[in-house]
Amino acid sequence: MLISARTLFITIALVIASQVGHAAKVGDSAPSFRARTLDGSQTVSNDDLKGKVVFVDFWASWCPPCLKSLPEFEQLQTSFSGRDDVVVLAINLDENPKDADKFLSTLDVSYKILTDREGKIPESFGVSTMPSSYIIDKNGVIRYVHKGYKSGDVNKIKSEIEQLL
Amino acid sequence: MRTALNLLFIVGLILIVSGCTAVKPWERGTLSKKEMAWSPDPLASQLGEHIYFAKEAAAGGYGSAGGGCGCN
Repeated sequence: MLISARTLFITIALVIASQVGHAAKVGDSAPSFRARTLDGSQTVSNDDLKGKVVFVDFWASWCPPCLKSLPEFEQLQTSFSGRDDVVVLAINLDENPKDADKFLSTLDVSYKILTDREGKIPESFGVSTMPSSYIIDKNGVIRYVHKGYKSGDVNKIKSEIEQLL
Repeated sequence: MRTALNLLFIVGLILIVSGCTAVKPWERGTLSKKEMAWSPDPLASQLGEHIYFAKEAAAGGYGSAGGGCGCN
């Protein structure tokens, strides 16, 4: 045999391990990100949002649970509309932003929708599921990670945000 | 000679294996399209599976529900 089974196993394991990214978890500092709004009118960076509780959701128009979550997140926006220390953001990951536009045209959402076609932001967060949401506290630390979505999950997210205020 | 061959084999293996990459969750837009589903008609497929289950007392093996977006 040319090489031992052990060498073969170690080589393959190392290559696979090198492809596994780091997933941001509770207690980690939130990765810095900067993204434009879907309409291109504004750029938002979480570094500019220090001192505020930031709720950030990753979604795409082709993801059925994401389509449930977006309208429900409007409840967050409404609940915290009187406060300037809570920010609700949704980052669209569609390769074609027109798909997001088409979907959003059927909804009435007032929070900011950002776009990241290249997927650099979910890469830095280590998003493993669509949709995924993160609550970042006033010091820029991740305090809650919500993977997937089913109707009513917004209540849990809302209570998590309230605990940080 | 043997060491050189081993090294060549390992380098070749690394190059080949590194070509394999996992599709990231946010890159599954194309996979989730209706035309990418195993069955073009989910209802007909469900009916077929039900008949098969009734006749053969066996179920499953047709993939999971959804279009492959890996949501939830």
